[in-house]
Amino acid sequence: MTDAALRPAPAPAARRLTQVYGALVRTEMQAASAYRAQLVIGALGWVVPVAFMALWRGAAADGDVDGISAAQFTTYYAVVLLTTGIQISHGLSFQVEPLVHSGELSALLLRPSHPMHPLVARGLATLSYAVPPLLPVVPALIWFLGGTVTADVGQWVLAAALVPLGFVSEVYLGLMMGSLALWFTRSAALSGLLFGAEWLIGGLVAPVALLPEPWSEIARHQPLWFAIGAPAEAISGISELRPWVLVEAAVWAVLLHVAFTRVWRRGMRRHEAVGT
Amino acid sequence: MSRRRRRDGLPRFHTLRVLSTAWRAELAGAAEYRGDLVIGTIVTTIWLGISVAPVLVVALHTGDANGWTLPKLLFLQAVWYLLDAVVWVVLIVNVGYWEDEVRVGQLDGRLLRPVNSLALCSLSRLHVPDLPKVVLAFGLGALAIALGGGPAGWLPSLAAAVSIASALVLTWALGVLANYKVLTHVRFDGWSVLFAAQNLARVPIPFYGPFLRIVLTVVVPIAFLATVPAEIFYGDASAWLALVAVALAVVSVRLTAVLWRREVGRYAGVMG
Repeated sequence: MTDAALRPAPAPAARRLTQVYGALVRTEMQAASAYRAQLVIGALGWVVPVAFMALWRGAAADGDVDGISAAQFTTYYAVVLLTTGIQISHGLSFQVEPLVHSGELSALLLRPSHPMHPLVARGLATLSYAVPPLLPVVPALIWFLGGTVTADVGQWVLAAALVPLGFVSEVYLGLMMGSLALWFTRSAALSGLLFGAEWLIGGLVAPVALLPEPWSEIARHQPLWFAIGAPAEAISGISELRPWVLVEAAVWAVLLHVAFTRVWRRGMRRHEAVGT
Repeated sequence: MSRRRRRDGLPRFHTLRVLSTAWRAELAGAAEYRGDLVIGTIVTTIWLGISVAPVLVVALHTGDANGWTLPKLLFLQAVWYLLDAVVWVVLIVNVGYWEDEVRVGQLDGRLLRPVNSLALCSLSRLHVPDLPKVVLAFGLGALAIALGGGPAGWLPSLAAAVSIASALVLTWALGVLANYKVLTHVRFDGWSVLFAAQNLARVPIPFYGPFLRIVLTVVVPIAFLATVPAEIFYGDASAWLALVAVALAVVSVRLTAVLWRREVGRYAGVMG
């Protein structure tokens, strides 16, 4: 009998990826559970949407701001608390640089799966602790602070469907920003700009409806808004989403996947694999 | 004539001299990496724009939000950006390395040096690419003043300057207090505490409503980071509040020094 006959048949790619992710996420969850106190401290990251909620509620105290009431701002930022809380792109954009400098990336490249899978798995594992506390907090904030939500079920469905599509796009953006470490010695400052873009055109500093034209319209056709501001605008009733927004978000996810694949391939050509 | 010496045998202002030498070395070293400085300046300028964007959008849609006009909001942002400079120029590059230094044993060597260990470990390095934040903060402050509405007089100006200096000290103390436990804990990351306080400070504290206003002024004095200096400058708060700010800064430094000494006493050396 030949060696080839003894070797187990390779699993289909999708099943294999699921198996790999299952194992990675389990491992990372075990590691994360050892530092629960840190995850509680991580909840302090909630203050950014809460601070902007305060700013806009204050601004709308004497009357609507461009047709947006204080109650809508409350709901908007409560939902933004959730949509920002589930993003793992920040970690991804900063975690590649240390891997390059320490030379750990070389070891990860020897594995039979893409070296970014462990980073994504780590982010997903963190979500298992970071998201559950948000689930009661978000409706509680809306309830206690007098927020209002849309009665249109269709908007709720669209918002719920947009969240995973926006999440995938954000992951690819995070990975691409992280990949800058393959070109620049100190890429963290540039990677941090993803935060800035999220703040401005994602809808964190203000609903993009309040940005001056044409920025408001431009911001409505890019993935950061789909990931953060769009679901919040739909649920708070600030804007009414059309179903085609899902197609647009899906196209962005595919485009960013292709873009990341190319960026990574080019980066690998430059990678010297010796660390610094 | 011999130099005056302290009780521990070290010359007076020894720590200050060591720090100034370290800072000169940092500046000289950074001059060799002008590319990092250029990228740092560009990124810092972009971030200034991002930080100011919320107040500009607010001003675009409202003339006067809760009594906070555009110049007042910009002045608050300038103070906030100065605090941000302390975080990125000083804290991240010093306190941010403690965990690694504990792991590889580098901290042991630093603790043995004949100099104030807290000052050496928390202030000796500078992240030069972020230094333009200081210039930009002053520029933004100047723009806020040029837009009118303040200052309310020479006493409020002086009091505001004192309270801003106190806020810088308070930020440093908060950064150290949030992270000093890393000396005895295998894995500790208290940055979220500092960033939470910092982000709460970017919005005028009265905006948080009456209950949180009291909490963020009396219980956790975040109001003294940016809101109080801005209110003093524009005459919305008494100039004497600057004395409270100074008292807070002094207490925070004393507390930081005591807790640091206690933690160093418990520090067991290289943790592997």
